[in-house]
Amino acid sequence: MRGLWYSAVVVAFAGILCAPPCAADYREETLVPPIGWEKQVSPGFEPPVEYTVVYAGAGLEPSLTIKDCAPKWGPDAVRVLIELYRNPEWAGFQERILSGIVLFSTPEVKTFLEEEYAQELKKTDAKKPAQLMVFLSLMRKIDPDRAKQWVDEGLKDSTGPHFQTFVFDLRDRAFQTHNPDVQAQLTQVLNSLPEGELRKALLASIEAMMANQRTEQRTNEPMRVILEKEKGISR
Amino acid sequence: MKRFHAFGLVVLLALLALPSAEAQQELGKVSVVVQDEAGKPVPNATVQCVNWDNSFPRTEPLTPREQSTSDDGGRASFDGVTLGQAFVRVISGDLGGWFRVQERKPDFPLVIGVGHSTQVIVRDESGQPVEDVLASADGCIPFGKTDKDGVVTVRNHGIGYTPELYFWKAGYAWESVNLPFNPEKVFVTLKPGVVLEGLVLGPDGQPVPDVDISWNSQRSVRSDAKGAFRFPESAIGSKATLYAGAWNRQPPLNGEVTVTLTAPPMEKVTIAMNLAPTAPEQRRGATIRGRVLNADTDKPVRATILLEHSPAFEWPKKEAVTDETGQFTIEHVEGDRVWLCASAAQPTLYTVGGLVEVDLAKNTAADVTIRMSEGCALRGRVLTAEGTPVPSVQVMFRPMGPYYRAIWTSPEGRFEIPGLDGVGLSYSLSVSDPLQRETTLEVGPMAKGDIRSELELRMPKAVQPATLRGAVVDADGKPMANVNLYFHFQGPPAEPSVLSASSDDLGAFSVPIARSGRVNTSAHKVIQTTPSQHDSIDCPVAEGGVFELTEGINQEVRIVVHTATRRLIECGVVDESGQTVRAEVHILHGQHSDDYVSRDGEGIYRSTQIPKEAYVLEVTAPQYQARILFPGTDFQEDGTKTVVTLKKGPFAYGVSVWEAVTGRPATKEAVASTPLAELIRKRELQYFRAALAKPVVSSVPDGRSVVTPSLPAISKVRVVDAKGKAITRILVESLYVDQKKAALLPPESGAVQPITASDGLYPVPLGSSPGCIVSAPGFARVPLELLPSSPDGVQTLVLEESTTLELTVKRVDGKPAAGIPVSLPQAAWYGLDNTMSAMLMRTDAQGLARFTDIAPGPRIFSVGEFKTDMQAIMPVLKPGEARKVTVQLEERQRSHNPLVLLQIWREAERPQPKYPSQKDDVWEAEIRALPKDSQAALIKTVQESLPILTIPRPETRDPALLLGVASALGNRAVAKDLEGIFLQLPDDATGIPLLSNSRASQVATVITELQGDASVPFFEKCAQDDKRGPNSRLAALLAFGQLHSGKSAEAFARLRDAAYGKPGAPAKKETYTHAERMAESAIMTLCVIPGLSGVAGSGMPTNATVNEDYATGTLWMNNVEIQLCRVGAEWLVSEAHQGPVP
Repeated sequence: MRGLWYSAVVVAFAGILCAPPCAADYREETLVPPIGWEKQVSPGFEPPVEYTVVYAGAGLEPSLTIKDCAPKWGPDAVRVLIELYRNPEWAGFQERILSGIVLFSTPEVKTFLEEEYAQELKKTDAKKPAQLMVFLSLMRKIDPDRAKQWVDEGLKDSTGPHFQTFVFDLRDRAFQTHNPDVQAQLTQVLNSLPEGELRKALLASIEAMMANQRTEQRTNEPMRVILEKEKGISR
Repeated sequence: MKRFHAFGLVVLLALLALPSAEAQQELGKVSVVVQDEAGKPVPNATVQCVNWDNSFPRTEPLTPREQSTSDDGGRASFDGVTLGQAFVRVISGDLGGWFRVQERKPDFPLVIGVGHSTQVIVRDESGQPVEDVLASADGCIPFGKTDKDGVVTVRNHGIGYTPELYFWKAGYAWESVNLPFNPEKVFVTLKPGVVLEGLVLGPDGQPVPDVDISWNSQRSVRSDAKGAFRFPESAIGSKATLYAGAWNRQPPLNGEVTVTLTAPPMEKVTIAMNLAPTAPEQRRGATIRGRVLNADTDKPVRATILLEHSPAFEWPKKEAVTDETGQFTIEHVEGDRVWLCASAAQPTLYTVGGLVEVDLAKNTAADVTIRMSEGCALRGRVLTAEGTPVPSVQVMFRPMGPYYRAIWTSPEGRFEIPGLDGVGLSYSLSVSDPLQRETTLEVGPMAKGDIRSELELRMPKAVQPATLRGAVVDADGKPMANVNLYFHFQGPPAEPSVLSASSDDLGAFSVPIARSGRVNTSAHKVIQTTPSQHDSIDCPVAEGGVFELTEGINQEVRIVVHTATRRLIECGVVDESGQTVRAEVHILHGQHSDDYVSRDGEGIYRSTQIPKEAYVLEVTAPQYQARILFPGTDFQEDGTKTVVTLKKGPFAYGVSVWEAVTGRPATKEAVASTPLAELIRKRELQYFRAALAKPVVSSVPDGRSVVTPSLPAISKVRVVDAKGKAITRILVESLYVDQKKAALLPPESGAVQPITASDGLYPVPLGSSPGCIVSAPGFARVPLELLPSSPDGVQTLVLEESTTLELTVKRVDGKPAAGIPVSLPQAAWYGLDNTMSAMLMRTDAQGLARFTDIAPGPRIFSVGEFKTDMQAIMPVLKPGEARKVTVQLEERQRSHNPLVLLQIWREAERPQPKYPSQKDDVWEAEIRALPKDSQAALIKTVQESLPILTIPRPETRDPALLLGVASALGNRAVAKDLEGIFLQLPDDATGIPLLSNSRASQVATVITELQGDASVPFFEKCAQDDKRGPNSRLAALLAFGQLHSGKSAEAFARLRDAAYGKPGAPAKKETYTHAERMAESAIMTLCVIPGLSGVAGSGMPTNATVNEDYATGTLWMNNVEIQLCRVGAEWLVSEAHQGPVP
C-alpha cells in the first residue's frame, strides 16, 4: 500500500476551489443585490469590487471577473470583500465573494478564516461540507501548519459530515504531496474506520485515483520507450 | 381595400353576360320624397343624385345637375339618371342619409335620420397628414376634403345605407375603406401613385373609341373618341392586366396588355386589339375539361359543375353539366385558379374533398377528375307556427362541410340539402325569424345513402315586436355616438342570446325586443386602425347595465357609460439623436407573464391587449439602457403616442440601474411602492448586461480567448439577386409563426407589405414582428433571420428565382390520393401532434399538393400518415424550375421502395450508431438481404438525396439517416458523391472549429468508412487547401485519426512538418513524451493546419492520459476533450468535443 503512495502524482484539486463561483453563476438570475448598491460602492477600486461581485462570471468583459481584478485592487480589497461577505443584504452573493477572498493570502484573511471556520464547525447540520473544505484549503495556502492542526483536531473530535470532510481532505493531500507522513496518517485513519459506507467510499476513491495516476504516468513516458519495445516485439 | 367585393362581382358578371351593358342602361328621371322618421316631408333638404358606380374614386366635385333642394312636399327630382342605378345623398341639418334607389317608381321615399359619423384620418406612408384628399361615398358622391390634419368626417351613415369610402388625391394611389361596426375613427394611408394612360388601337392601327378596358378583370374605364383611356392613380409597383373588349363591333375585337406601374412620368400604354371570336361568350380564357366519377364504383356521374374563383365558394356559378359518360367542358374560364364542385342528380352524392382546385396557369386544364361518393341528403320545409309554408328563409345546417352553402326555402317553403358527407353524424338544422329567434331540429345520425325527407322546421310564433329605445350618455350626461351596445340575455341559452344596437350621433338607439328576459349590457366603441384591423374599446356601463326586457312592451333605457376607457398603447422608440431604434417592447404583468408588443411597418409599437392587473412596459434594445414605463405616468392608455428615448449603454459605474430604468429613486420606499418591483429588480442584471457594448468572446482549444471587437448591430438588410444585383422592391410578410413553414406556404391575405429602396438597402426591422418572410416578384419567399451584428451593420439577403413543386400523390391502386397530409420534415420522424403544426397542406381531390414561390435547393417533405404510409421525399429544386414529383403510396409489407425503406428505418427509432461511426449493422444486414435491383434503387435514391446534407439546420435526423445508410451501402460511387458534398458543405463563418460534431466531420467519417485508405489523398488535399474554411479542413484532419492507418499517419506527418514555423505552431523537438506529442498533434490538428493563426504553442495547461496498450489516449485542453490514436511515432486526433460548460 505504502509503495503506491510514492507513485502518486498530483491530482487536481482546483475543482473544489472553483466550485463556489461556478455554482453561484447558475443562480445568478435569482440574485438581487441591495437597492441602490451602485451608489454605495467602496471607493478606491477600479472597477468597483461590488460590480465584479454582482456581474462576475456573467459572460461580460473579462476585466470584470474577480480573478482578473484582484491584482489591480491589491490586499485592500480583502476588507471590502469581508464586509460584503458578512453583510446580510449581500447574503446571496457569499459564495462568489468568498471566491474573491481566497485570491488573497493576508493575516486579515487568516483571521477571517479562523472566525468563519469556527462558525462553520458549530453548524451541526453541516449541509455544506464543501464550505469547510474551502476554508481548510485556503488556510493551507496561508498557514499550512494551522490547516494541519485543523485536520488533526477535526479527525479526532468531529463526527458525521465534518469528519468525512477531514478524511477526504487527508486523502487528497496524500495524493497531492506524496508525503509519507500524510500517507501514513491516511492509512491509520483507514484502518481505524469500521466497515461501512465511508470506508467503502474512501477505498473506492483511492483505487480510482491510483488507476488515474498510472494512466497519466504513461503520458509522461518518452515515446521511444514504447517504439523500441514494439520494435523488439516485431523482431 | 381595392378588393373586388362580392357585389362588384355580381355587377360585373351581369355586365359581361350581356351583349352590351350600355344597351341595358335606360336614362330617365329619378324623383324622391324626403321624409323624417315620422313620415313627414322634409323641405329645403339638400339632395344629391348620381349614377351609382363604385369602379374608381371620383376626382371631380358634384355638378349643378347632380344637386337639388327638396320642395315643400319634400320632393326632388333629377333628369338623365340611369334608372335603377341612382345613388342619393340627403342633408338636412344634422339629419341625412345615403340611399341606393334601385326601384324605378317615382317619388321614392327617403327616410332621413341622424345615423353615425366617422372621422377619417388620412396620412401618407411616413405618417404625415395629407390635406385636400377628396373623399367620396362609394367613389361617386364626394362628401368633403381632408383638412390640414388630414381629417374628413362622413356623416349620417347607416341611414339608408353605409357606403364604402374612397379617397383620392393627385400623386397618391387611391384608397377605399369600409365602415363595419360604426367605427369612431378610421385611419387611411395613401401611398405614392401614378396615373395609367393609354391608347386602344385596332388591327388597322387606328384608335378604337368607346371600348371598355378592365383592370385585372375588375374595374373598367372606357376609351374616349380618340381611343384614349385613363385609370386614376394606383400604387407604384403594382401590376395590372388591361383587357379591352369591343363585342358590339363588327367584327368584334379584343386585346390585352400587362403593365407594372413605375414612378412618374409613366409611358402611355398601347392596347393592340385584334379580331376576336364572334360571341362574347367565346371571347377568351381557359378551357377546363374533365369528368365526374363515382369514387365507390368508378362509374360516370350525371352532375352539374359549379365554379368559383375563390375557395370560399360564396358565389358559385353553374357552368356545365356532364354527359352520360360523366364528361364536362367549361370554356372561357378567366383567372389563374378556380375551384370546382359537382352537384349530382342523385342528391346523396357528395364531392370528395369538398372542392377541386384547378390551376389555369397554362390556359387549359384537361383531365380534371371530380370524384363523388355516397353520402346523405336532407329535405323538408319551413312552416310558420300556424303551419303556413315560409318562402325565402335561410336554413342553416351544421356541420357545414368543407365550404359554405346557402340553402333557401322555395316559394312553397321547401328546402333540400344534397351532397352531405356526414355519414355517421347528426345534423342540426335551424331557421331564424327577423327577430333572430331560432328554431332548431336535430337529425341523425345519418347512414350512407340516407335521404331524410319531410323534415319540418316551425318558426316561432309571430309577434308584433315592441321596441327598446334609449340614449347612451357619458357620466356628465353628454350623448355618446357610435357606441355599439350588446344586451346579453341571462339564464339558460335561447335564441336570440343577444340583441345589438348602435347609438347614433345624438346617442340614440333602438332595437326590437325579440324576447323577454333579464339582460346584461356591454358597450364598445370601435376604432379602425387599418382597413383590415379594428380595435374594440370597452366602455364600462355605469347605469343601465342590467334590466328586464318584456316581449310586447315598448321600453326606454338610459345607458351611462364611462368614456375614458379606450385602452391602446402606442409608442415609438428612438435614441438620443432621435433615430429610430429597433427595440423589443413587452408588457410585464407578473412573474412569468410577458406579452410581446408588435411593431407596425411605420415603427410604432401598438397594443390593445392590456392586462387588467398591474403591469409595466419594458423597452429593451441591445447596447442601449432599458426603460421601464409605468401606465398613467410615463404613458397613457388612450392611444396617445409616446416616444421612448433610449440612452446608449453601458450603465456607468455609480449609476443605479433601477433608477435609470424606472426613473424612480433607488430607495426601499420607492421599490415598495412600485408595481412589479421584484420582477424589475431581478431583471436589472440583464438590463446591465444588454446595455454593454459586448465583445464576442469565444474559446479555442489552445486556451486563447478570441475577442472580436464589438460590431455594429444590423441596421440594414441588403437584398440582392443571385448575381448580386440590388432588388429595389421587396415584399415583406411579418410573421409570428414558424418561418420555415410560412416560407413554403402562400402568404396570408393582407399580410404582405411592399417596401422599396432604390439601392436595395432596407432599414430593419422590415416587418412588424421578429420574424418575416422576404420575397419579390419572381423570387422565392425566404425567411429573414437577422444576425446580431456585422462589420458594417448590413446583412445581405440573397433572393433566388422561385421554384414550384407539384406533388402528385397516388394511392396503392394508382388512383389520386386525396386528403393526404404533406408536412414539414420532422413529421417523418415524430408524426403529427395534436396541433398538426407541422402539416403544410393536404392533397386535393386530384391527389395534388402544390408549393409555389419556394426557394430552390434541397428540400424535405413528409407525405402521408406516420407509421402508415408516410414517405419523405428529398427533391433538389433548381432556380426557376417547376418540378413535378409523384409519390406512390404503398403497402409497407415487403415493399422495396427506397423511400418506404428509409421511412421504416426512421420510424424504427434505432439507437444511434456508436460514435463516430455512422454505420448501422442492422441497416447493413437489411440492405444485403435486398434484391440487387432494390439495392441499386436504394443507392440511386441515397445519391439523389445527399444534397440535403448541405441544409444548414434541417431540424431532423435525416442527414444522420442518409449517412448511416450510405455507410451501410458500402458503395464506392456513393463515396465519390459524398466527396463532392464534402466540398460543398457550408463552413462556419466564425473561424471557430465545430470539432467532431460538425456535418463535415460526419461526412468525412462515412467517406473513410467507404473508401478506407483510398480517401487519404482527398483529405490531405482538403486539409492543406487554405481556400477552404477551417471547419472542413479540421474534418479532413480528423479523418486521418479515424482511418488510423500508416498512410493516414504519413499524410498527417507531411502536413504537420509543413506547418512547423507557421504562426502559433509549437517548436519541433528532438524527442517527445506521449503527452508532448499528443499536445503537439492536437494544436496542429485543431488550430495551426486548419488556419487558425496566433496560437500560443507552449505552456498551455493540458491533462493527458494514455491507455494501457499505448494505442489510444485522451487529452484535455481548455475544456476540449480530444481523443487520439497512435500509429507508430504519430499521435493522430480522431475526435474532439467541447466539454460541458463549467
